[in-house]
Amino acid sequence: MLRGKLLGMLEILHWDDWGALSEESIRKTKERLSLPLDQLTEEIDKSLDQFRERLAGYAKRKETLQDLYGRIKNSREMLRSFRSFIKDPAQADRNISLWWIDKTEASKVMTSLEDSLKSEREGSCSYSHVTHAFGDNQLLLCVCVPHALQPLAERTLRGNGGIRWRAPVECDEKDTIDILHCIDTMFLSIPDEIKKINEDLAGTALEWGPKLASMFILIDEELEENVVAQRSNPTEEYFLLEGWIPADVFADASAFLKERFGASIFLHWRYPTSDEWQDVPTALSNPSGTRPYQLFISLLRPPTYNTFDPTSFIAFFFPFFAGCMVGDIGYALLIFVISSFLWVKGSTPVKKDVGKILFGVAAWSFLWGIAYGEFFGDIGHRLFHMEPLWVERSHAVLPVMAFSVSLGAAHVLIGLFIGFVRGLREKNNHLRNEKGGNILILLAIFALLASLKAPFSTVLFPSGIVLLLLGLILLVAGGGIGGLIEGLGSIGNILSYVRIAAIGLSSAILAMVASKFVDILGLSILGILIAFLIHVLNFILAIAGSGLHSARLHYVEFMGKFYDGNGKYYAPFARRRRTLWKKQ
Amino acid sequence: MEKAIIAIAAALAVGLPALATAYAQAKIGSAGAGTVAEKPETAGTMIILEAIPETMVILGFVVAIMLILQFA
Repeated sequence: MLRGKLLGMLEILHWDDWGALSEESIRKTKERLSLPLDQLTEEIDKSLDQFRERLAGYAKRKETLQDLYGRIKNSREMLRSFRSFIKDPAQADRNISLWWIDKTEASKVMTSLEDSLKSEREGSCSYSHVTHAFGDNQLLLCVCVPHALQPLAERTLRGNGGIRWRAPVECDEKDTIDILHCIDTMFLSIPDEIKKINEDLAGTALEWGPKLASMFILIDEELEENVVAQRSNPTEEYFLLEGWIPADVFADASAFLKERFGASIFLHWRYPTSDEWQDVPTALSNPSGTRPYQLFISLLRPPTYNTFDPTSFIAFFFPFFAGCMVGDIGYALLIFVISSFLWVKGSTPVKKDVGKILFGVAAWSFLWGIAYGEFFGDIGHRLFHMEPLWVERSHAVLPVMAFSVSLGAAHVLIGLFIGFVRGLREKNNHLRNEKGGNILILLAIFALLASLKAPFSTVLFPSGIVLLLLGLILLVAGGGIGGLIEGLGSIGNILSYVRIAAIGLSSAILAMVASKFVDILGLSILGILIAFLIHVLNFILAIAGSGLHSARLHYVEFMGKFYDGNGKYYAPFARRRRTLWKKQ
Repeated sequence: MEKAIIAIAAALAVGLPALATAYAQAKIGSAGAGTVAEKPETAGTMIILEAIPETMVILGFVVAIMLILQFA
C-alpha cells in the first residue's frame, strides 16, 4: 500500500530517473529513517498524505487553468469576427450584447427586434448589428442599441428564443468591450501561470523524486528482508538461510560472505534433490555477443532449468531472416545509423540491446542487398549500374521462394532435432518419438521430391518410402493421431517461411514504385517528394515487418518444436531499482 | 481476356485470405491488448497469437504467384 503510494506520487511528479539514483542518496535516506519498520511506515504514510494533498492541489490548479485557457481561446476565436464592430468608437456610448440564435429563425428575430425598437421610438430608432454563423444551425448575433433601449432589446430577443452569450470567465466588467479586454488579459496571463506551476512541479520532482524513490527502495528492501527472515527458522544461537545461486558466481559470493562475516557464518552448498529440480529457477547465461537476443526469451516465460536456451540460434537466424527480407543496401545503411544511435546513446539497457540487434539486421541487410543488387530499390542500378550478385528478387520470384522454403526446412529440422535431443536427455519417449518421427517424415519428403529430378532416383525413392514408413510409426507411437497432425503442422511450418520471400518481394516492388514516380513526374519537386515518402513508408514497413515476421518464425515455427517455457526466472535477493507499480 | 481472368483469380487468392487474416487479427488483437494490459508478461504469447493467422495470406500469396507464373 505504502509502496503503491510512493510510486503513485513519483508518477504525479513525472519522475522516472531510477538509473541516476545514487547509492549515496539511498544511504543518506536510510540514515534519516532510524525508526522501527512499523512506526516508520506510519510516519511516512502520514507525511505522504500531506504531501500528496499539496501535490494534488497543484495538479488540480494546473488542470483548471488548462481548461480555462482552452475555453478562453475558443471565445477569442469566436469573437474575432466582432472585434472591430465592438471596438468601433461610434458605438462608445451604446450597449453591445451578444446572442445565440437559431439560424433558421434569424430573419424573423431581426424583423421582430427592428419592429419593437421602432415602435418604442416611433420609427426613428437606429441600431446596428453583426452576425456570424457557427456550425450548421447556430448564429451569433452582436447587437448595438442605445442604453435606454437595452431592456426592450433583451426582452425581444429572449422572447424569440435568443440565448445571451456569456464570457467563459467571471469578469467584473459589464460592458462587452471590457469583457473582451478581460479575456485578452487572461489569454496572455494564464500560460505564464501554468508555466510557473510546471516549474514548481519540476523543482519539487527534482528535490523530492530521489528522496521518494530512495524511500521506496528502502521500504521494499525492509519488506523483503522481513519475508526472508521469517523463513530463516531462527533459534537463540543461529538462523538458517537457504536460496539458489548460479554456479558461476558461487565462488565470488562465498568469498565475499567469508570476508564480511568471517567465522560467524557457515556456508554449505548442495545440488538440488530429485524433488527440487522442478523448482530450480532459470538464469540465462550467454556470451556478450548473443546476450542482447535474450530479449526475445524475456517476452516469454523462461525455459525450464536444464533445458535448451535457444538464444544463440536466435542470435544467428533472427538478423539473417530479417536481413533477407529487407535486402537493400540503402535501407541497411539507414538501419545501421539507427542501431548506432541506440547502441551508443540508448538510455536503458533494453534500448542498447535493441541497437545491437538492429546492427546485426543492418549487416545482413547489407549482404543480402549485394546479393539482390538493390540500393533504395533500383536506384543503385540506375545510378551506379549495380548488378545483383545472385538474383533480382522482383523478377526471379520462384528461386527466392524456393530458397526461403529451404531455409525454413533447415530451421524447422534444427528445432525438431533439439526437441529430439531433449526427449533423449529427459528420457521422454513421447517427445523423442514424436520429434524423431517428424524428422524422418520431413527427410522422406525431401528424398521423394529429390527423386523426381535427381540422377540417382532409383536409390532415393525407396529410401524415401522406408523413411516415411518409419517416421509414421514413430509419430503414431509418440503422439498417436495428434502426432500425425503435428507432422502435417511441420510441413505447414516450413511453407510459412515463404513469407521471407513474400515480404522481401513486396519491399522491392514498393521501392521500384517510388522510382517510377520520378519517371512519370520527372525530376520535379513533386516527383522526388512522392518517391521520398514511399521510401519512408517502405523503410518503416521493412523494419517493422522484417522484425515481427522474423520473431514470429522463431516463436512459432522454430521454438514451437522444443521450447516449453515452464520455468521461472532467477530473482536474486538484491536491491531492485525499477518497478512498475501497476504490476504489484 | 484470359489474362484478366488470371489476374482476378490471383487477386482473389490474396484478397480473400487477407480479409480472413484481417478479421482474425482484429479479434485476436483486441483481446491481446486487454490481456497485455492486465498481464504484461504475456506480451510474447500475444505476439505469437497475433501472428498465427498471417499464414493464410502468405499461402494465398504463394497461390497467386503460382497462378501468374503458370498461366499468365
